Amino acid sequence: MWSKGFTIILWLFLTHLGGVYLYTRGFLLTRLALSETNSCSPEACPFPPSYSKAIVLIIDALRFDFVAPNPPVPPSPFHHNFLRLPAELSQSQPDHSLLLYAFPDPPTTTLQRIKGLTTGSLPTFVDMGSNFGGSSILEDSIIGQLRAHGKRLAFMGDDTWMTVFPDAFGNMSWPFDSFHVEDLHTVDEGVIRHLFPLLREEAKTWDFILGHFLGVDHVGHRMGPDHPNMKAKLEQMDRVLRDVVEELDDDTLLVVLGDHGMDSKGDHGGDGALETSAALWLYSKTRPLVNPEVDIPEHYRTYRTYPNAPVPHRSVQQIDLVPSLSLLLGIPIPFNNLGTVIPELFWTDHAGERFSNAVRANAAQIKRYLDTYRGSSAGGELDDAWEGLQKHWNAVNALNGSLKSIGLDTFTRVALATCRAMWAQFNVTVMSLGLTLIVSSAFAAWAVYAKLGSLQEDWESWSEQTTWTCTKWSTVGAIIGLSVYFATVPFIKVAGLLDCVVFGAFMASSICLVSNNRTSITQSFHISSIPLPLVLHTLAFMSNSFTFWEDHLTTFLLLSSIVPFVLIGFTAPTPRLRYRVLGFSALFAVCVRLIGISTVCREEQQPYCEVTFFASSAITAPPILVLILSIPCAIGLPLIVKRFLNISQADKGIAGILLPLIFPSVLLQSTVAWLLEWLESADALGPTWSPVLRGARTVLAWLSIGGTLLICASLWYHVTLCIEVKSREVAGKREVTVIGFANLFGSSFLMFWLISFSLIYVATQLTGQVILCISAVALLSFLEVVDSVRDIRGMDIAFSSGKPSTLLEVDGTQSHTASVGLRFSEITPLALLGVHTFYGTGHQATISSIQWKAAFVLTAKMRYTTSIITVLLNNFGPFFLFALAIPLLALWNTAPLPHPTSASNARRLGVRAASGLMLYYGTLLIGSAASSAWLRRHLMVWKVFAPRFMLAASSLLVVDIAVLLAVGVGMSRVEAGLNRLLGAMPTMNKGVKEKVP
Amino acid sequence: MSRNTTPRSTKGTANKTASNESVPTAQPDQRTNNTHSQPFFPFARYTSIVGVHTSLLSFTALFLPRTSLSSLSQGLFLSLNNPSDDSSRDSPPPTLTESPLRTVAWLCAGTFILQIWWAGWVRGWSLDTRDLSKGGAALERTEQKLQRQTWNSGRFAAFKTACLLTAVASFFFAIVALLFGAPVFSHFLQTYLLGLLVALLTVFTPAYTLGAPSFKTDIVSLVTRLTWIRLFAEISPRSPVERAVVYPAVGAFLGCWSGAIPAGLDWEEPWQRWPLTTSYGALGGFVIGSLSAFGVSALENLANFDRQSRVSMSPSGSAHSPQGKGSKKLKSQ
Repeated sequence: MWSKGFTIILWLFLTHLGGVYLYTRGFLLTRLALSETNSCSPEACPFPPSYSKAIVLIIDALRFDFVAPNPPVPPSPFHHNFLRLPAELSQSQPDHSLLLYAFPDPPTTTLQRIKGLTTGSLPTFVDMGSNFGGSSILEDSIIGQLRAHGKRLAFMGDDTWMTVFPDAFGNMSWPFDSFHVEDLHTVDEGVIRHLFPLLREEAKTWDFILGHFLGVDHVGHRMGPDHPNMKAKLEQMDRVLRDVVEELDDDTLLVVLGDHGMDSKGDHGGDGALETSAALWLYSKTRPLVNPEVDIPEHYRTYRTYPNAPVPHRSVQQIDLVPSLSLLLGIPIPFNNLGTVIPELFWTDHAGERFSNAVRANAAQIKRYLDTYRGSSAGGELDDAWEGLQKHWNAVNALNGSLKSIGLDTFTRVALATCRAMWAQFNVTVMSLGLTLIVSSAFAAWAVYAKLGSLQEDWESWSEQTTWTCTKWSTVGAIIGLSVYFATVPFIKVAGLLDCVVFGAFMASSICLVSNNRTSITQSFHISSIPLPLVLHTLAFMSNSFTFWEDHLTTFLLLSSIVPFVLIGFTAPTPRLRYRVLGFSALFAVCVRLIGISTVCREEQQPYCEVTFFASSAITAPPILVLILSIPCAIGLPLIVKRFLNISQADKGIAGILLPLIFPSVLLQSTVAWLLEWLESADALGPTWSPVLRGARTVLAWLSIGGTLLICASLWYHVTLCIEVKSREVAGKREVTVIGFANLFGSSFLMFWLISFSLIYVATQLTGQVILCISAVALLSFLEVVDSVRDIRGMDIAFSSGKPSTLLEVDGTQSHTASVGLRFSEITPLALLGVHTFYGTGHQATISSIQWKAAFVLTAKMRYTTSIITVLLNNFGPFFLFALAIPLLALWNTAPLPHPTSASNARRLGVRAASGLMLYYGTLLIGSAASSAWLRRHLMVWKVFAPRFMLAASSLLVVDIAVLLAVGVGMSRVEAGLNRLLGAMPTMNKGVKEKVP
Repeated sequence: MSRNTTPRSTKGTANKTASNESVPTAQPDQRTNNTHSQPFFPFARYTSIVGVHTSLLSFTALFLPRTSLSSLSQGLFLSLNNPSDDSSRDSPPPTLTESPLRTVAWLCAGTFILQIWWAGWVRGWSLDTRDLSKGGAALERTEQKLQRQTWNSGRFAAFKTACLLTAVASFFFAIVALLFGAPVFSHFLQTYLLGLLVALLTVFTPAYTLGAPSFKTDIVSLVTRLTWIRLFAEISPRSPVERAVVYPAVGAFLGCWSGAIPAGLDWEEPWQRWPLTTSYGALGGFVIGSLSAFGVSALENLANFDRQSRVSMSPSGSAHSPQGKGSKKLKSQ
């Protein structure tokens, strides 16, 4: 396994790993979502509730200046001074109304803000917990606490809430589609229609109403804030609020807020000053809410000036609402909360007794949260800040009286700042280190690719020597990184010890590798050698449209990448070659287009996309056509492969057993298992059959995997070669005929590939299985195209060399791979085919498109090992398969003679193809990482760019592992098999049955 | 001004070429029938015709679908369109983006008429080139005339062949567009019209000029087939007339291909609707290709003329060798 060329690929893989690790650490903000909840104790709920009911009205994107008493100068004629009610009431009834300027934490998207507003925590991209896939909140939240305390909840408005709290609102929920930005009124009118009947009820059937208006946000998105529609919308909201205030009773608290602001164009999502300016207004009709008489120390009160506003306004963090509202309603503060109680709401007596109780409960809750987080598996994130927090806490607890309150208040703010630094800030330094490493690893892959093209027999010594040099330089680099870390750590602290060491080690060895081989790089570079599909594919990640239409893009690029082959096909000197190239290209193109038809459509592709992977967008059952095709596909594919191998008469040896018998049965078992799954979920046979079906499909899936591993894999591992050796006595001499020699490498490696294929087949849904079959046909046709094009090139070389008679020699046309070499344009279609099949098998570059059904292939219940393995196979199978197939470019129709030279050459080209593929996926990673770094404050970053980066990073690593397996196991075993064969027949009379050129 | 002087000089070149066999050949390779030493190059006519043709194509692209003539078809195509598309039915001048189907249909119609004219002219040019190459020093005028007559009488047959081949190619290109990602379940007519437009732009002229490629084994079919392969698979035109055929075709293909790229952006612009971007890309590519073919041929012609004038000025040939070699090398690359 540690054979020639393997180590250099391994080193490239480690470099990728280092780059991805660093970049991810800086970019992907993660947080462990703790599932603990708080309950009411005298300490946690220090005083009885002030209000028994509350109405929270969220006006999406209600920016602070829309309601500000002193709007910016000059005021806008479209959105200032129209929603006057909060300012008016704060003026006329200062003890009943509190208007605040709230700071919502970026990303300022509705889903993240809903999470923040209910849990009081900071939003991160991945809230890791038990619900990785879904977006529902399983943390402690206000909503959860209200339900736990027997409050009756009603909800109307933006349906995002239903995905976040799927079952919190019972039958009093009226969600409306939030996706139609074009529609300005449906949601608002729906909210109004359902809100007022509840308000006017004589005997209230609710304790908590949540209304979420979307009109202001939609006007912003569609027309921007400076549009007459915004004026109309704000006036409508003003009327609604006046009506609500009219209907309000004594015991009800009204909270009106914007979940985030909007920028000057009306969009939001980033951390711009306007996007992070939201309004927050609390109002109590009869009972006093605040006491304007008391003198709250300045320490507690922060002010912020809205851009261009004449005076600063009292400002709070938006999540401060969470502890304040909790305590006002007499429920415990949610466990994960990081907000601080708003002093005005509790400082009602002159001594501020009530407030000090509140802040004590608040600080204790935050301390408890920090302690729990510290003790959790992610506690290491707090390493740097922990000591300071502990000191602060101990110091505060030694204080007394009003100083203690101040100290506790400061402690909550310090905790918030610590967590914000930990979760909500990109570490740009580490990100750039990672990006630099990713870029340099691409250059290193290029260097390996270019160098292996120019080397001949001496490549093995070069690869050993390079591995040694890389190891040496990584050590040097690691030491440099270490010393830089210790030299700078007293002054600045941006990157951790591990970051510095990883960066130093891989950077130094990459630089060394690239600079040692810079001549090969410059020599291999021509204008015409620029791979246009790769360049376009990489640049596409700079645009959100191209990123979410990437499935269509790959069809286009794949077809474009086959055009040069077709053009060469026309120039073929013999009709046979011409028909082969054109015919197989056409087959390839049709397969690619068929794969492209299958899609699950991502949300952003609507309304221009129709789900074809499933029967419809609402039903996750396969379409009828797929049900019909699935069994013929499973049985037919091995036979088609056999037919392809028959072209070079390589369907002998173990291929003669595996292809017609074992693979069809194994694939059929997988298909039937999924057909049973369809029957089970369609409930076609009634519930009594369900356990039977479940059991049957579990057994079938296990049989399929077992058959693949026990029969196919072990047979291949020991016999390996697809070759038939006949010997007979002719006139006293023994004559040995070897059939299938011309494609010995290719056919034997293909069996290895098919083993992985059938493993992935088990984990793939029915439509995906059909697509996988089509993609396998595409792969084989492409290999035939490449082979024929090489024949054409080889003939051209032979003709132009002036000695066309070389074509007639035994291995004249066969070993073109040696003379014609391997081109990057041959790697591109395979790389694209991997991406294309990924999309065709019902995946998208979104987390929500992960097919969780695959977790239950082998077991009825979620089991950590098998479920994760099958989901991974399902998700990354396509990338894995086509990366595993990459050595076929070097092996297909390569005869293993003359013996050691041909094998060594095939191996060199196999390693070269592998490094080329790593270069392709590495460049894609550069594209997506650079775009998500550059656009990290873009509106779409968490929806489009970050998921695509995650896909690019994980698919690169999968591709790396696949090529390592292909080179380390596949190619090595084939070579070992060949050595055995030739060793067994030292004086073999090689009656090689040639492929007809 | 230069237009008045160049024809004479061009003719002079041609005559000189015919008489002077020692001038280095434009292409050293002699696989096909290009045994003539210098391609015939009607500079002035070419200039004017390329100019008119490309401007008329641009007119077709930008104005024809909006003219009142085209509103004749409005009733026909509106019925085929989505009802949501005809919001501006009453406004008198139809816009280009209002109904992509109608726009592209008019593009095809306009292009067809222009291509007939253009292909006829290119065919005549190609004929002149052959006449010169066959007639050598232009001695057998009568035979030439005879040939020309048969050539002219074959015009109708050639036109029929060209139309037939274009029709076949239009389906082929529509299928190619489908493979490249055109909608599979809808917009068939739009995709077909794109195929037709591309076929008109790329296939019609060469088919009319060269004849249809066939797989017959006789020598004429073989030569035709090899010429097609050389021109469109190897993309190596050898004379101005071939360049005038190949460059626009390649331009149209590339333009059509790159036209698909902006269609994917989420700008929701009306001009992004299928198949407007690709159609306009193809037309634009054709115009650019045609102009660049003209530019390259004109430059080459000027260089030839310059070299020959030097040769004639210094008959010893001392000045000729470096220049001639240079240009020869340049071409053989």
